[in-house]
Amino acid sequence: MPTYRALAIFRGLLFLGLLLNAAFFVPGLFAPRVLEGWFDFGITNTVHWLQNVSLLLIIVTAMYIPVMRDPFRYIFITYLAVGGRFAAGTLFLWGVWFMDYPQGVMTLALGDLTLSSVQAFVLYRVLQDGDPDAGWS
Amino acid sequence: MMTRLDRYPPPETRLFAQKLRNRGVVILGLWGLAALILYTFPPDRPVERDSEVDHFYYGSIGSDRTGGLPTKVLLLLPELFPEYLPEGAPHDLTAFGFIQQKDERLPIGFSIRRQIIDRTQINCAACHTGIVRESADSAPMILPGMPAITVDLHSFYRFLFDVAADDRFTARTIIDALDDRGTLGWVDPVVYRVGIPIMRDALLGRELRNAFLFQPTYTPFLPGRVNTFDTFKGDQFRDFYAAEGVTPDPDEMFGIVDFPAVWNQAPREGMWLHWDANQSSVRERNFSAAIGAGTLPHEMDIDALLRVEAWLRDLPPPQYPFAIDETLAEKGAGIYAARCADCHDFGSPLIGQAIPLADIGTDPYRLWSYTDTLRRAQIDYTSGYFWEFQTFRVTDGYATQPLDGIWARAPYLHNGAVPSMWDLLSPDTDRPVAFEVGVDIYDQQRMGFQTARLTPTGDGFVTEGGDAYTGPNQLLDTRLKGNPATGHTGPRYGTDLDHADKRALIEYLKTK
Repeated sequence: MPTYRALAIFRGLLFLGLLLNAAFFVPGLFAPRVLEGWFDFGITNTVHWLQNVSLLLIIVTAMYIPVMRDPFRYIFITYLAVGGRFAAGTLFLWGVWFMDYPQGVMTLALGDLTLSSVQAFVLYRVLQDGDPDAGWS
Repeated sequence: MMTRLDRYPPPETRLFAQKLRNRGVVILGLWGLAALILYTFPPDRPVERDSEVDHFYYGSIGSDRTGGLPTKVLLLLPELFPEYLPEGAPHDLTAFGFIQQKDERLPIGFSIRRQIIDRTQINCAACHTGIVRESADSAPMILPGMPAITVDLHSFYRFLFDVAADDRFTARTIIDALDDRGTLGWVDPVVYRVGIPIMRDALLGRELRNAFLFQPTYTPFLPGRVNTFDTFKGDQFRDFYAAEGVTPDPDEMFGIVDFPAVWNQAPREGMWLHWDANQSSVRERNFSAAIGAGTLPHEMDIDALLRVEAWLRDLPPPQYPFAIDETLAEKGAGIYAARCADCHDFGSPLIGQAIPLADIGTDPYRLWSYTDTLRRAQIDYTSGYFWEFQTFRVTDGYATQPLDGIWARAPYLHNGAVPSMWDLLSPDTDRPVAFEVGVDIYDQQRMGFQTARLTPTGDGFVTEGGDAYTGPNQLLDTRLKGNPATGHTGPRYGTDLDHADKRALIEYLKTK
């Protein structure tokens, strides 16, 4: 009988992702210039796209909530939550390496790539343990 | 325990796990392959430099993003089309006075941005890095922030436009030439077949928009000078001018000025800047110059520009590199305090103020160049950006300038029409009618460069010795529109000083 510990950890990691996203989208929406001042993220010519991105990130982050509650029921969104963060991390890393992104974006890249990689590994364990609500013993 | 039919059974979730692991491996493999391709052919990666001075010399300001010319092609053109180079010039970019450092691919003032192929465009240092030599035999001293006294942008762009108009400028010509030299990359033929026609059309379009600069009657920039604002009127701001129904007056198109020095910017913040004191923000001035270098507002490399801005704030003016007669300089300090300090000292009441044209008496064309329509066009062009222009104004005169590093800022006046400090301290009627420009050997006596001073005769010029001038250099003729060496003359400006006092004052100015 599995302990389903991986599931608890996975939920915790999703919540951590939610908090990290909030640390971006709250200042991004309400104080975009403050956000730009952190970590040398780079200064945008105009802030409207940064605010727009923040709004989209809120919508994306909202989808973490059903996944945290029941990752098996919303399995596609579960994959998307992990894969999306990995894609974002990849964009940031490649942006710094190949596309003239400011050096500070490397902070975002490393954060997202690390978190999504750990999430992917834990999700693998979650799937191996199985769905606790499936009722199989 | 009952099983839930609406849930995934363990065998199925274990299958999901297996798929996740397998796909993860595939994704990581593809990720590595994509990274390798992007490393080899980056979509947009400026070549960055660690040191601040190298960033100034070779860093991108964004002008190379869409305005960049293929680096290999730019380096090749002087070899392929030498007939369009200045007479007797070397077959490389130094033909236009750009400064080539050893072991560098391009001269100072050119950045490289990798966009599958390398692309190149000028940056701040192209116009703001100069060289000084003690004699013809001595090694040049490269001074960042100094006016680029040898750089002739007019000839450089004339060359590019002439090449673009030449039927031989085709992808085939370029590809074959690179192949002959063994520098053809495997991706180059594909890129150049598309890129060369685009480059040609872009250059010809730019020539068309700036055709006024290449009329036979137009005053040439010459080395060390540029037309700051007038090219905007028919180029970057053409839509605004069209919408306003404004056609620039021909007399406002001769705003040709000497490249200014750009060191020691911190004390200049808040002062009225530019030759006519038309704005008071160092940052706005920098971004305005970046636009002049061909950078589009949305393509500004903000971080790179702010890095240059921070470095220039505290870049000290260069120390005078030759001997100074300290006793004479001490005497000159008193003369300076009595005659010059009120207008030229940092913190003095008149520093950075526009002295009305009626008082200063210098050539008016640069002043006429900056109009209210142009001011509004600038505001419109930059509106919405965090660095948008807010401090520009139209003035009625020319600015009093601080004199830090003044020894390295010859020739003098806003249009560079006075070859040395000795001449500037002489009545304007005694100043040379014409003189050589682009010379980098220093004249320690006069505080300027060792240029032949010439007098017009018939259709040519004669030297002070009475010989016909047959030298290799271009000549600044003060009789041409925008070039007069008039003004800054009379007792108020020190042109009544006797020779001994002039010598002393010049000796003191070497210490600034």
